[in-house]
Amino acid sequence: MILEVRNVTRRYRLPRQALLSAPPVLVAVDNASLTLERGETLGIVGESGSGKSTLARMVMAFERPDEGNIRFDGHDLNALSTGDLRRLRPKFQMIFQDPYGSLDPRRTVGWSIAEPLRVMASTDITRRVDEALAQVGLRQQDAAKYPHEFSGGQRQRIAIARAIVTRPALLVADEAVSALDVSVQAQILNLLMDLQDELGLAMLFISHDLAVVASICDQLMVMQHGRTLESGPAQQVLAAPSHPYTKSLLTAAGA
Amino acid sequence: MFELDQLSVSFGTATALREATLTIRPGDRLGVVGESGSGKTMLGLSLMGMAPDAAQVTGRLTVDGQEMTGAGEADWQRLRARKVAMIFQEPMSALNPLRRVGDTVADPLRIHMGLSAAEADARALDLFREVGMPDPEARLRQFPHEMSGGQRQRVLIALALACDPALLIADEPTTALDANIRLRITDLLARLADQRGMALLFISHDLAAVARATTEIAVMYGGDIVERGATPAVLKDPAHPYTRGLLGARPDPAPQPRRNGKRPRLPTIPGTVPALGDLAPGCRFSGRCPVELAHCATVRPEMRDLGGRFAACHALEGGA
Repeated sequence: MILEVRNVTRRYRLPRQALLSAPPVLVAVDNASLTLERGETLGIVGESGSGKSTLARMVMAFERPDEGNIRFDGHDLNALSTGDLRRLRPKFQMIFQDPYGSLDPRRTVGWSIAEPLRVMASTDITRRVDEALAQVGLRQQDAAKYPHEFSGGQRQRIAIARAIVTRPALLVADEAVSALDVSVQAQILNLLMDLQDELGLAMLFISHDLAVVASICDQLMVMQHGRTLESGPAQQVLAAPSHPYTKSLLTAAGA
Repeated sequence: MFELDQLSVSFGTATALREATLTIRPGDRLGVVGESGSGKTMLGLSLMGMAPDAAQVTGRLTVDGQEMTGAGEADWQRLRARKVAMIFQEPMSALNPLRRVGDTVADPLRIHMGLSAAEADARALDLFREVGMPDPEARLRQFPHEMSGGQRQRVLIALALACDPALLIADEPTTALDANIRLRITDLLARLADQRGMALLFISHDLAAVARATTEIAVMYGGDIVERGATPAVLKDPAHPYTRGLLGARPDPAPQPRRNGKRPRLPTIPGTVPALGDLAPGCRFSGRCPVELAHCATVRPEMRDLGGRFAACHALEGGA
């Protein structure tokens, strides 16, 4: 097991609504649990405010849960020292919805892809950047170009190259294909599947689009307002959804 | 009735919309699908007389027989007030955050329809009811930030309907909304078109929403309308290779089990959409097409009648 999330809850205090009342509390993630095996994909489906991105941020150790714990490859992420966490980070990487926002426009693509390697003080940086570019279907020469010279789909390939350049065991993808056109989206989904086969990656794939998740996931978890409505093998959840909300997601996806 | 005859919109050598010919009759519900850069938004903007100033527009556009090609801004303003309205993807940025939404909806009623303030307020309330706004009286007094995304989109629809347009253009009206709300807004637009005998131009990349909202569909690629026909027929049995590729690339919400440990890959369209200036002079889809013929890149295919539906493709000629 590469990832185990157990009974995780995250609360946010909202601004006070009246001077003397206690500030209201938003339970962004309410008692969520999941497990993910090596080489498998778990999809989290939910809409704005469902808590899916908060859960992803906790898995990435960008924020801490108020309750529960998260184990990555046997390590309790919130018990690690800062140094140990930094040394572990190359093993779990994330890609985001908007690659334009996550790539420095003034740096070459090669520089951006090499960034996590420099943090690791890795040697053979050039060779590994070339390898990552090849793995995502880009050319060696592309390393010298700047983000604006690429289309949206190509920029998402660059973001994926940067995420896999450290040879991670887990990839967290938060709405990674949502901003792409249908035909480009299919290319990127196939690329993620290829990389999973090649590298044995485990993936946490987060999306509001049930059809996209269905095409790539082994396990499926449906979230709404921070709560887990249902979870299980993707085939089972899709063929016989037990919650009306999942059924409405299926209808919206054109099932 | 809106008639486009060989309407083109170009920027120097880049053609955003190429010789679009289309008739929109009262009550038609027409879906326009295509990916970024396909020209679908330019088609919508052209019908509003809102093509960018830098664009060269050629061809003809007539509205109820009135020639609108080359019409001045004053003519377009009159037309926009009474005949055509448009709603956009992001309902937050389209509303004035400093004004109560009821006032925003009442404004055009006073300005264009000449209603008194009290009449306009009463009419705004009717419109809020018509678009299914929950608790309409209270909502009229709210500000945009106090409303959900679905409610804001309903405000914009009410605003668009205020002057009883003959044509409502909805450009990606559901893209920013959650699934449940998406279904309700899609169904609302279809119902309003039917009840009012209003034409609806539903521009979207969301094929599931287009399938629900429309009876006719036009598929666009690289500035061309490449296929059109009845929505169920086109979606079930696409004729143009691009339409086939687009429908095939859409993920299926049905379960996809692994075979021999491998997950089935999605069918894809090879390559990427070229920049507008780099499109082939013939069929825009040439270079990516799986059934391409020698002359496809240089000779533009005619729109062919395939028995009530139309597709522009050389591979369909002679026998198909």
